[in-house]
Amino acid sequence: MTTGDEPLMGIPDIDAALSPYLPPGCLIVVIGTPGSGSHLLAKQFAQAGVGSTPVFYYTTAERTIDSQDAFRSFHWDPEPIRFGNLSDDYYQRVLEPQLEVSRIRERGLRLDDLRNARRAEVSVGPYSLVNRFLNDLAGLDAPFRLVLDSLDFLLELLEVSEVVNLVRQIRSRTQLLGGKAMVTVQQASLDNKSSAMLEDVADLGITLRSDPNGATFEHTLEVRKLRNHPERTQIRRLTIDDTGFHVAP
Amino acid sequence: MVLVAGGVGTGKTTLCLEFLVRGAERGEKGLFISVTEASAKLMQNFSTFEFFHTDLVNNNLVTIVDLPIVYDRLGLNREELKPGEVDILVRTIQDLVRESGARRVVVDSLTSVGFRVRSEEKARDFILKLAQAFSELGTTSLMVAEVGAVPGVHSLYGVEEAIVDGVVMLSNVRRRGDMLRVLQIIKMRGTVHSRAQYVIELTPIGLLMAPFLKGGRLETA
Ligand SMILES: Nc1ncnc2c1ncn2[C@@H]1O[C@H](COP(=O)(O)OP(=O)(O)OP(=O)(O)O)[C@@H](O)[C@H]1O
Ligand SMILES: [Mg+2]
Repeated sequence: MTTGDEPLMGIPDIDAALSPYLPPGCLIVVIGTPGSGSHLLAKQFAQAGVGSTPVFYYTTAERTIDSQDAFRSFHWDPEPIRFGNLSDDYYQRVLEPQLEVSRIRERGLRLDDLRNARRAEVSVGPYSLVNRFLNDLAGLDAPFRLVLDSLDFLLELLEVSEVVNLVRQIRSRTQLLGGKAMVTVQQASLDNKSSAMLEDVADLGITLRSDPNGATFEHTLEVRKLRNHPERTQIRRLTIDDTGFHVAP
Repeated sequence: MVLVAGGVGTGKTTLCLEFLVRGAERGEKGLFISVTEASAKLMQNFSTFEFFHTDLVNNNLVTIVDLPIVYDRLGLNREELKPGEVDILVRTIQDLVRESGARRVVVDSLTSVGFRVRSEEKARDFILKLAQAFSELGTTSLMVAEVGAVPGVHSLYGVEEAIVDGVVMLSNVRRRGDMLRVLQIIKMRGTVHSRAQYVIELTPIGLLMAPFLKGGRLETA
Protein backbone atom coordinates (compact mmCIF):
# COMPACT_ATOMS: atom_id res chain seq x y z
CA MET A 1 0.00 0.00 0.00
CA THR A 2 1.32 3.46 -0.79
CA THR A 3 0.86 6.50 1.34
CA GLY A 4 -1.48 7.83 -1.34
CA ASP A 5 -4.27 5.39 -0.68
CA GLU A 6 -3.75 4.47 2.96
CA PRO A 7 -6.91 4.65 5.04
CA LEU A 8 -7.49 7.86 6.91
CA MET A 9 -9.15 6.71 10.11
CA GLY A 10 -10.03 3.11 9.39
CA ILE A 11 -13.77 3.89 9.11
CA PRO A 12 -14.24 3.21 5.37
CA ASP A 13 -17.32 5.36 4.74
CA ILE A 14 -15.86 8.35 6.50
CA ASP A 15 -12.43 7.87 4.96
CA ALA A 16 -13.97 7.83 1.51
CA ALA A 17 -15.92 10.99 2.22
CA LEU A 18 -12.96 12.98 3.57
CA SER A 19 -9.70 11.62 2.12
CA PRO A 20 -10.02 13.31 -1.29
CA TYR A 21 -10.16 16.69 0.40
CA LEU A 22 -7.17 16.31 2.68
CA PRO A 23 -3.51 16.93 1.79
CA PRO A 24 -0.97 14.08 2.25
CA GLY A 25 0.23 15.69 5.46
CA CYS A 26 -2.53 16.66 7.84
CA LEU A 27 -3.48 17.10 11.46
CA ILE A 28 -6.71 15.79 12.96
CA VAL A 29 -7.98 17.22 16.22
CA VAL A 30 -10.55 15.05 17.99
CA ILE A 31 -12.58 16.64 20.75
CA GLY A 32 -14.42 14.04 22.78
CA THR A 33 -17.09 13.95 25.43
CA PRO A 34 -16.82 11.37 28.23
CA GLY A 35 -17.49 7.85 27.00
CA SER A 36 -17.48 8.92 23.36
CA GLY A 37 -14.57 6.62 22.50
CA SER A 38 -11.84 9.09 21.63
CA HIS A 39 -9.21 6.63 22.89
CA LEU A 40 -10.73 3.98 20.62
CA LEU A 41 -10.79 6.30 17.62
CA ALA A 42 -7.16 7.16 18.33
CA LYS A 43 -6.26 3.47 18.22
CA GLN A 44 -8.31 2.79 15.12
CA PHE A 45 -6.53 5.68 13.41
CA ALA A 46 -3.14 4.29 14.49
CA GLN A 47 -4.06 0.81 13.31
CA ALA A 48 -5.15 2.20 9.92
CA GLY A 49 -1.59 3.34 9.26
CA VAL A 50 0.07 0.00 10.00
CA GLY A 51 1.70 -1.36 6.86
CA SER A 52 1.98 2.03 5.16
CA THR A 53 4.14 4.14 7.45
CA PRO A 54 5.81 3.90 10.83
CA VAL A 55 3.16 4.45 13.51
CA PHE A 56 3.79 6.22 16.82
CA TYR A 57 1.32 6.12 19.63
CA TYR A 58 1.87 8.52 22.51
CA THR A 59 -0.45 8.06 25.40
CA THR A 60 -0.83 10.08 28.54
CA ALA A 61 -4.10 8.47 29.50
CA GLU A 62 -3.21 4.86 30.21
CA ARG A 63 -0.32 2.53 30.86
CA THR A 64 1.41 1.20 27.76
CA ILE A 65 0.39 -2.39 28.47
CA ASP A 66 -3.25 -1.34 28.85
CA SER A 67 -3.07 0.41 25.49
CA GLN A 68 -1.60 -2.68 23.90
CA ASP A 69 -4.30 -4.87 25.43
CA ALA A 70 -6.94 -2.53 24.09
CA PHE A 71 -5.46 -2.89 20.60
CA ARG A 72 -5.60 -6.66 20.90
CA SER A 73 -9.19 -6.64 22.11
CA PHE A 74 -10.15 -5.16 18.71
CA HIS A 75 -8.01 -7.76 16.93
CA TRP A 76 -5.37 -5.20 16.05
CA ASP A 77 -1.77 -6.22 16.46
CA PRO A 78 0.10 -3.62 18.57
CA GLU A 79 3.47 -5.14 17.63
CA PRO A 80 4.31 -2.81 14.70
CA ILE A 81 3.28 0.28 16.65
CA ARG A 82 5.84 2.23 18.61
CA PHE A 83 4.51 3.36 21.94
CA GLY A 84 5.61 6.38 23.90
CA ASN A 85 4.17 6.82 27.32
CA LEU A 86 4.26 10.33 28.64
CA SER A 87 2.25 9.56 31.75
CA ASP A 88 4.61 6.85 33.08
CA ASP A 89 7.34 9.35 32.57
CA TYR A 90 5.36 12.02 34.27
CA TYR A 91 4.58 9.74 37.16
CA GLN A 92 8.19 8.75 37.70
CA ARG A 93 9.75 12.11 37.15
CA VAL A 94 7.20 14.51 38.56
CA LEU A 95 4.48 12.90 40.64
CA GLU A 96 6.64 10.45 42.56
CA PRO A 97 9.15 13.09 43.65
CA GLN A 98 6.23 15.34 44.59
CA LEU A 99 4.80 12.62 46.80
CA GLU A 100 8.18 12.19 48.42
CA VAL A 101 8.39 15.93 48.98
CA SER A 102 5.03 16.11 50.73
CA ARG A 103 5.95 13.08 52.84
CA ILE A 104 9.16 14.79 53.96
CA ARG A 105 7.43 18.11 54.54
CA GLU A 106 4.88 16.31 56.66
CA ARG A 107 7.25 14.46 58.94
CA GLY A 108 10.17 16.90 58.83
CA LEU A 109 13.56 16.54 57.21
CA ARG A 110 16.25 14.52 58.98
CA LEU A 111 20.00 14.53 58.58
CA ASP A 112 19.75 11.00 57.22
CA ASP A 113 17.67 12.26 54.30
CA LEU A 114 20.62 14.38 53.29
CA ARG A 115 23.34 11.75 53.48
CA ASN A 116 24.34 10.12 50.21
CA ALA A 117 22.26 12.66 48.36
CA ARG A 118 23.64 14.54 45.43
CA ARG A 119 22.85 18.08 44.53
CA ALA A 120 20.15 18.04 41.91
CA GLU A 121 21.35 20.07 38.98
CA VAL A 122 18.10 20.44 37.10
CA SER A 123 14.56 20.26 38.25
CA VAL A 124 12.21 18.15 36.16
CA GLY A 125 9.04 19.74 35.02
CA PRO A 126 6.47 19.36 32.32
CA TYR A 127 8.88 20.89 29.87
CA SER A 128 11.16 17.89 29.93
CA LEU A 129 8.23 15.72 28.84
CA VAL A 130 7.31 18.04 26.02
CA ASN A 131 10.94 18.34 25.03
CA ARG A 132 11.22 14.59 24.87
CA PHE A 133 8.19 14.42 22.66
CA LEU A 134 9.45 17.20 20.41
CA ASN A 135 12.81 15.46 20.20
CA ASP A 136 11.13 12.30 18.96
CA LEU A 137 9.15 14.36 16.51
CA ALA A 138 12.24 16.11 15.20
CA GLY A 139 13.90 12.72 14.72
CA LEU A 140 11.29 11.63 12.14
CA ASP A 141 12.47 11.94 8.57
CA ALA A 142 9.92 10.10 6.44
CA PRO A 143 6.14 9.94 6.22
CA PHE A 144 4.72 8.81 9.54
CA ARG A 145 1.52 8.43 11.49
CA LEU A 146 1.37 9.78 14.98
CA VAL A 147 -1.20 9.80 17.74
CA LEU A 148 -1.09 11.92 20.87
CA ASP A 149 -3.83 10.66 23.16
CA SER A 150 -4.53 12.96 24.88
CA LEU A 151 -3.79 16.63 25.43
CA ASP A 152 -5.79 16.76 28.66
CA PHE A 153 -2.86 15.97 30.82
CA LEU A 154 -0.63 18.53 29.14
CA LEU A 155 -3.35 21.14 29.58
CA GLU A 156 -3.16 20.54 33.31
CA LEU A 157 0.54 21.33 33.32
CA LEU A 158 1.01 23.99 30.69
CA GLU A 159 -0.56 27.18 29.44
CA VAL A 160 -3.08 26.65 26.65
CA SER A 161 -0.91 28.65 24.30
CA GLU A 162 2.00 26.31 24.97
CA VAL A 163 -0.13 23.27 24.22
CA VAL A 164 -1.45 24.86 21.04
CA ASN A 165 2.11 25.63 20.09
CA LEU A 166 3.03 21.99 20.54
CA VAL A 167 0.12 20.96 18.32
CA ARG A 168 1.25 23.48 15.75
CA GLN A 169 4.70 21.89 15.73
CA ILE A 170 3.13 18.50 15.13
CA ARG A 171 1.19 19.91 12.22
CA SER A 172 4.19 21.54 10.62
CA ARG A 173 6.02 18.21 10.86
CA THR A 174 3.16 16.42 9.12
CA GLN A 175 3.22 18.97 6.32
CA LEU A 176 6.96 18.75 5.91
CA LEU A 177 7.22 14.96 5.83
CA GLY A 178 3.76 13.93 4.70
CA GLY A 179 2.57 12.55 7.97
CA LYS A 180 -0.84 12.06 9.49
CA ALA A 181 -1.27 13.06 13.09
CA MET A 182 -4.19 12.84 15.46
CA VAL A 183 -4.42 14.58 18.81
CA THR A 184 -7.34 14.00 21.13
CA VAL A 185 -8.70 16.11 23.95
CA GLN A 186 -11.70 16.02 26.24
CA GLN A 187 -14.19 18.80 25.69
CA ALA A 188 -14.23 19.41 29.44
CA SER A 189 -10.54 20.34 29.37
CA LEU A 190 -11.22 23.23 27.01
CA ASP A 191 -12.95 26.54 27.25
CA ASN A 192 -14.41 28.14 24.13
CA LYS A 193 -11.30 30.06 23.37
CA SER A 194 -8.92 27.13 23.64
CA SER A 195 -11.11 24.83 21.56
CA ALA A 196 -11.26 27.55 18.91
CA MET A 197 -7.47 27.83 19.00
CA LEU A 198 -7.07 24.08 18.60
CA GLU A 199 -9.61 23.75 15.81
CA ASP A 200 -7.91 26.60 14.05
CA VAL A 201 -4.69 24.57 13.82
CA ALA A 202 -6.50 21.43 12.66
CA ASP A 203 -6.91 20.38 9.05
CA LEU A 204 -9.72 18.15 10.16
CA GLY A 205 -11.70 18.95 13.29
CA ILE A 206 -13.81 16.16 14.72
CA THR A 207 -16.12 16.08 17.70
CA LEU A 208 -17.08 12.69 19.11
CA ARG A 209 -20.21 12.41 21.19
CA SER A 210 -22.03 9.79 23.14
CA ASP A 211 -25.60 10.63 24.08
CA PRO A 212 -28.17 8.47 25.87
CA ASN A 213 -30.89 7.18 23.57
CA GLY A 214 -33.38 4.95 25.33
CA ALA A 215 -31.48 2.10 26.94
CA THR A 216 -28.29 2.64 24.91
CA PHE A 217 -25.90 5.36 23.91
CA GLU A 218 -25.81 6.88 20.51
CA HIS A 219 -22.37 7.65 19.16
CA THR A 220 -21.97 10.46 16.72
CA LEU A 221 -19.01 11.82 14.85
CA GLU A 222 -19.24 15.42 13.77
CA VAL A 223 -16.92 16.68 11.08
CA ARG A 224 -16.91 20.26 12.25
CA LYS A 225 -14.09 21.49 10.15
CA LEU A 226 -12.35 20.40 6.98
CA ARG A 227 -9.82 22.97 5.92
CA ASN A 228 -10.85 24.76 2.72
CA HIS A 229 -13.96 22.58 2.42
CA PRO A 230 -16.64 23.99 4.66
CA GLU A 231 -19.21 22.22 2.50
CA ARG A 232 -17.90 18.86 3.75
CA THR A 233 -18.88 19.31 7.37
CA GLN A 234 -21.23 16.52 8.37
CA ILE A 235 -22.60 14.47 11.21
CA ARG A 236 -22.48 10.64 11.10
CA ARG A 237 -23.93 8.15 13.49
CA LEU A 238 -21.50 5.41 14.52
CA THR A 239 -21.72 1.92 15.90
CA ILE A 240 -19.02 0.08 17.80
CA ASP A 241 -18.27 -3.63 17.58
CA ASP A 242 -15.20 -5.73 18.26
CA THR A 243 -13.51 -4.38 15.16
CA GLY A 244 -13.93 -0.75 16.13
CA PHE A 245 -16.10 2.12 14.89
CA HIS A 246 -18.36 1.79 11.83
CA VAL A 247 -20.80 4.16 10.22
CA ALA A 248 -24.28 3.11 11.29
CA PRO A 249 -26.37 1.67 8.47
CA MET B 1 23.83 35.84 65.98
CA VAL B 2 26.77 37.51 64.33
CA LEU B 3 27.05 38.66 60.77
CA VAL B 4 30.34 37.95 59.05
CA ALA B 5 30.35 40.40 56.21
CA GLY B 6 32.95 40.67 53.53
CA GLY B 7 33.90 40.56 49.88
CA VAL B 8 35.12 37.57 47.92
CA GLY B 9 38.10 35.69 49.28
CA THR B 10 38.33 37.76 52.43
CA GLY B 11 38.34 34.69 54.70
CA LYS B 12 34.69 34.49 55.74
CA THR B 13 34.42 30.73 55.29
CA THR B 14 37.70 30.11 57.07
CA LEU B 15 36.71 32.25 60.04
CA CYS B 16 33.41 30.40 60.35
CA LEU B 17 35.04 27.01 60.12
CA GLU B 18 37.49 27.90 62.83
CA PHE B 19 34.61 29.08 64.99
CA LEU B 20 33.05 25.61 64.71
CA VAL B 21 36.30 23.76 65.24
CA ARG B 22 37.22 25.76 68.37
CA GLY B 23 33.72 25.02 69.69
CA ALA B 24 34.05 21.32 68.96
CA GLU B 25 37.35 21.26 70.87
CA ARG B 26 35.38 22.47 73.88
CA GLY B 27 32.68 19.88 73.33
CA GLU B 28 30.18 22.12 71.58
CA LYS B 29 28.80 20.55 68.46
CA GLY B 30 28.63 22.59 65.29
CA LEU B 31 26.49 22.68 62.15
CA PHE B 32 27.81 24.16 58.92
CA ILE B 33 25.03 24.98 56.47
CA SER B 34 26.68 25.38 53.12
CA VAL B 35 24.81 27.09 50.34
CA THR B 36 27.42 28.01 47.78
CA GLU B 37 29.77 25.08 47.91
CA ALA B 38 29.06 21.34 47.88
CA SER B 39 30.03 19.69 51.16
CA ALA B 40 32.47 17.31 49.47
CA LYS B 41 34.39 20.22 47.98
CA LEU B 42 34.20 22.07 51.27
CA MET B 43 35.69 19.08 53.09
CA GLN B 44 38.54 19.08 50.60
CA ASN B 45 39.26 22.73 51.22
CA PHE B 46 38.89 22.33 54.96
CA SER B 47 41.36 19.46 55.14
CA THR B 48 44.15 21.78 53.99
CA PHE B 49 43.92 23.48 57.40
CA GLU B 50 45.87 21.87 60.20
CA PHE B 51 43.30 22.91 62.79
CA PHE B 52 40.63 20.88 61.01
CA HIS B 53 40.40 17.10 61.28
CA THR B 54 37.99 14.95 59.29
CA ASP B 55 37.41 13.10 62.56
CA LEU B 56 35.39 16.09 63.69
CA VAL B 57 32.92 15.34 60.92
CA ASN B 58 33.12 11.58 61.30
CA ASN B 59 32.32 11.89 64.99
CA ASN B 60 29.45 14.27 64.28
CA LEU B 61 31.10 17.07 66.22
CA VAL B 62 30.84 19.15 63.07
CA THR B 63 27.99 18.39 60.69
CA ILE B 64 27.99 19.82 57.21
CA VAL B 65 24.68 20.25 55.44
CA ASP B 66 24.21 21.12 51.77
CA LEU B 67 21.34 23.53 51.62
CA PRO B 68 20.65 22.87 47.91
CA ILE B 69 19.97 19.23 48.82
CA VAL B 70 17.58 20.47 51.48
CA TYR B 71 15.83 22.60 48.84
CA ASP B 72 15.61 19.56 46.64
CA ARG B 73 14.19 17.29 49.34
CA LEU B 74 11.63 19.90 50.28
CA GLY B 75 10.66 20.52 46.67
CA LEU B 76 11.83 24.11 46.86
CA ASN B 77 13.58 23.95 43.53
CA ARG B 78 11.11 25.94 41.54
CA GLU B 79 11.81 29.43 40.32
CA GLU B 80 10.12 31.26 43.15
CA LEU B 81 9.15 30.15 46.64
CA LYS B 82 5.46 30.02 47.38
CA PRO B 83 4.00 31.73 50.41
CA GLY B 84 4.60 29.51 53.40
CA GLU B 85 7.66 27.86 51.93
CA VAL B 86 9.94 30.29 53.71
CA ASP B 87 8.44 28.95 56.94
CA ILE B 88 9.02 25.37 55.83
CA LEU B 89 12.66 26.19 55.13
CA VAL B 90 13.20 27.88 58.48
CA ARG B 91 11.42 25.11 60.37
CA THR B 92 13.55 22.53 58.59
CA ILE B 93 16.79 24.32 59.46
CA GLN B 94 15.58 24.46 63.05
CA ASP B 95 14.88 20.71 62.98
CA LEU B 96 18.34 19.99 61.60
CA VAL B 97 20.03 22.12 64.25
CA ARG B 98 18.07 20.29 66.94
CA GLU B 99 18.80 16.86 65.51
CA SER B 100 22.52 17.53 65.16
CA GLY B 101 22.66 18.85 68.73
CA ALA B 102 24.61 21.84 67.50
CA ARG B 103 25.34 24.74 69.82
CA ARG B 104 27.16 26.66 67.09
CA VAL B 105 25.75 27.20 63.63
CA VAL B 106 27.16 28.71 60.46
CA VAL B 107 25.18 29.72 57.40
CA ASP B 108 27.50 30.33 54.45
CA SER B 109 26.04 32.36 53.04
CA LEU B 110 22.90 34.22 53.90
CA THR B 111 23.28 36.17 50.69
CA SER B 112 22.96 33.01 48.60
CA VAL B 113 19.83 31.93 50.44
CA GLY B 114 18.49 35.38 49.72
CA PHE B 115 19.08 34.93 46.02
CA ARG B 116 17.29 31.59 46.13
CA VAL B 117 14.36 33.07 47.97
CA ARG B 118 14.19 35.65 45.19
CA SER B 119 12.21 38.64 46.31
CA GLU B 120 13.83 40.99 48.81
CA GLU B 121 10.71 40.91 50.88
CA LYS B 122 10.89 37.14 51.27
CA ALA B 123 14.63 37.33 51.95
CA ARG B 124 13.97 39.72 54.82
CA ASP B 125 11.19 37.51 56.06
CA PHE B 126 13.55 34.54 55.96
CA ILE B 127 16.33 36.32 57.82
CA LEU B 128 14.00 37.58 60.54
CA LYS B 129 12.44 34.15 61.03
CA LEU B 130 15.80 32.42 61.01
CA ALA B 131 17.11 34.80 63.65
CA GLN B 132 14.02 34.09 65.71
CA ALA B 133 14.50 30.33 65.31
CA PHE B 134 18.15 30.48 66.34
CA SER B 135 17.37 32.58 69.34
CA GLU B 136 14.74 30.02 70.42
CA LEU B 137 17.33 27.29 70.04
CA GLY B 138 19.85 29.28 72.01
CA THR B 139 22.62 28.67 69.50
CA THR B 140 25.47 30.98 68.70
CA SER B 141 25.49 31.51 64.99
CA LEU B 142 27.59 33.13 62.31
CA MET B 143 25.83 34.30 59.19
CA VAL B 144 28.01 35.03 56.20
CA ALA B 145 27.03 38.05 54.13
CA GLU B 146 28.74 38.54 50.81
CA VAL B 147 28.94 42.25 50.42
CA GLY B 148 30.76 44.41 47.98
CA ALA B 149 33.32 47.06 48.67
CA VAL B 150 30.87 49.80 49.57
CA PRO B 151 32.12 51.24 52.87
CA GLY B 152 29.60 51.12 55.65
CA VAL B 153 27.30 48.63 53.94
CA HIS B 154 27.34 45.30 55.71
CA SER B 155 24.14 43.77 54.48
CA LEU B 156 22.16 43.34 51.33
CA TYR B 157 18.65 43.43 52.65
CA GLY B 158 19.01 46.18 55.20
CA VAL B 159 17.68 44.09 58.05
CA GLU B 160 20.63 41.86 58.85
CA GLU B 161 22.68 44.52 60.59
CA ALA B 162 19.79 45.62 62.70
CA ILE B 163 18.70 42.22 63.97
CA VAL B 164 22.08 40.61 64.60
CA ASP B 165 23.98 40.98 67.83
CA GLY B 166 27.22 41.68 66.11
CA VAL B 167 28.82 42.51 62.81
CA VAL B 168 32.33 41.47 61.88
CA MET B 169 33.62 42.98 58.70
CA LEU B 170 36.32 41.31 56.65
CA SER B 171 37.96 43.17 53.82
CA ASN B 172 40.95 43.36 51.60
CA VAL B 173 43.02 46.47 51.98
CA ARG B 174 45.70 47.54 49.62
CA ARG B 175 48.78 48.80 51.34
CA ARG B 176 51.86 49.74 49.32
CA GLY B 177 51.14 47.19 46.65
CA ASP B 178 50.27 44.41 49.11
CA MET B 179 46.81 43.07 49.71
CA LEU B 180 46.11 42.72 53.40
CA ARG B 181 43.17 40.96 54.94
CA VAL B 182 41.56 43.15 57.53
CA LEU B 183 39.04 42.34 60.25
CA GLN B 184 36.99 44.94 62.05
CA ILE B 185 34.30 44.55 64.64
CA ILE B 186 31.59 46.96 63.65
CA LYS B 187 29.24 46.17 66.48
CA MET B 188 28.88 43.68 69.28
CA ARG B 189 25.95 44.01 71.63
CA GLY B 190 26.62 43.87 75.33
CA THR B 191 30.38 44.15 75.22
CA VAL B 192 32.91 46.86 75.02
CA HIS B 193 34.98 46.11 72.00
CA SER B 194 37.73 47.62 70.01
CA ARG B 195 36.64 49.30 66.83
CA ALA B 196 40.14 49.10 65.46
CA GLN B 197 41.02 47.20 62.34
CA TYR B 198 43.13 44.09 62.69
CA VAL B 199 45.27 42.58 60.04
CA ILE B 200 44.53 38.90 59.77
CA GLU B 201 46.43 36.14 58.17
CA LEU B 202 44.85 32.90 57.08
CA THR B 203 47.34 30.22 58.02
CA PRO B 204 47.17 26.45 58.12
CA ILE B 205 46.94 26.64 61.91
CA GLY B 206 44.11 29.12 61.78
CA LEU B 207 43.43 32.77 61.68
CA LEU B 208 46.15 34.99 63.12
CA MET B 209 45.41 38.53 64.09
CA ALA B 210 47.63 41.58 64.54
CA PRO B 211 46.74 45.22 65.05
CA PHE B 212 46.56 47.16 61.84
CA LEU B 213 49.24 49.77 62.20
CA LYS B 214 48.88 53.05 60.51
CA GLY B 215 51.63 54.68 58.54
CA GLY B 216 53.15 51.74 56.78
CA ARG B 217 55.34 50.44 59.59
CA LEU B 218 54.27 47.00 58.53
CA GLU B 219 56.77 47.14 55.76
CA THR B 220 59.78 47.93 57.87
CA ALA B 221 60.85 44.30 58.10
N1 LIG C 1 45.24 25.84 53.97
C1 LIG C 1 45.30 27.17 53.85
N2 LIG C 1 46.22 27.85 54.48
C2 LIG C 1 46.28 29.18 54.40
N3 LIG C 1 45.46 29.93 53.66
C3 LIG C 1 44.48 29.29 53.00
C4 LIG C 1 44.35 27.89 53.06
N4 LIG C 1 43.29 27.55 52.30
C5 LIG C 1 42.80 28.70 51.80
N5 LIG C 1 43.49 29.74 52.21
C6 LIG C 1 43.25 31.15 51.85
O1 LIG C 1 41.93 31.49 52.19
C7 LIG C 1 41.38 32.25 51.14
C8 LIG C 1 39.90 32.04 50.99
O2 LIG C 1 39.33 32.17 52.23
P1 LIG C 1 37.82 31.88 52.41
O3 LIG C 1 37.35 30.80 51.52
O4 LIG C 1 37.59 31.74 53.86
O5 LIG C 1 37.21 33.27 51.91
P2 LIG C 1 35.72 33.62 51.66
O6 LIG C 1 35.55 35.03 52.10
O7 LIG C 1 34.86 32.59 52.25
O8 LIG C 1 35.71 33.54 50.11
P3 LIG C 1 34.44 33.40 49.13
O9 LIG C 1 33.98 34.78 48.94
O10 LIG C 1 35.07 32.81 47.93
O11 LIG C 1 33.49 32.51 49.82
C9 LIG C 1 42.05 31.74 49.92
O12 LIG C 1 42.11 32.74 48.96
C10 LIG C 1 43.42 31.36 50.41
O13 LIG C 1 44.28 32.46 50.20
MG1 LIG D 1 33.34 31.33 51.36
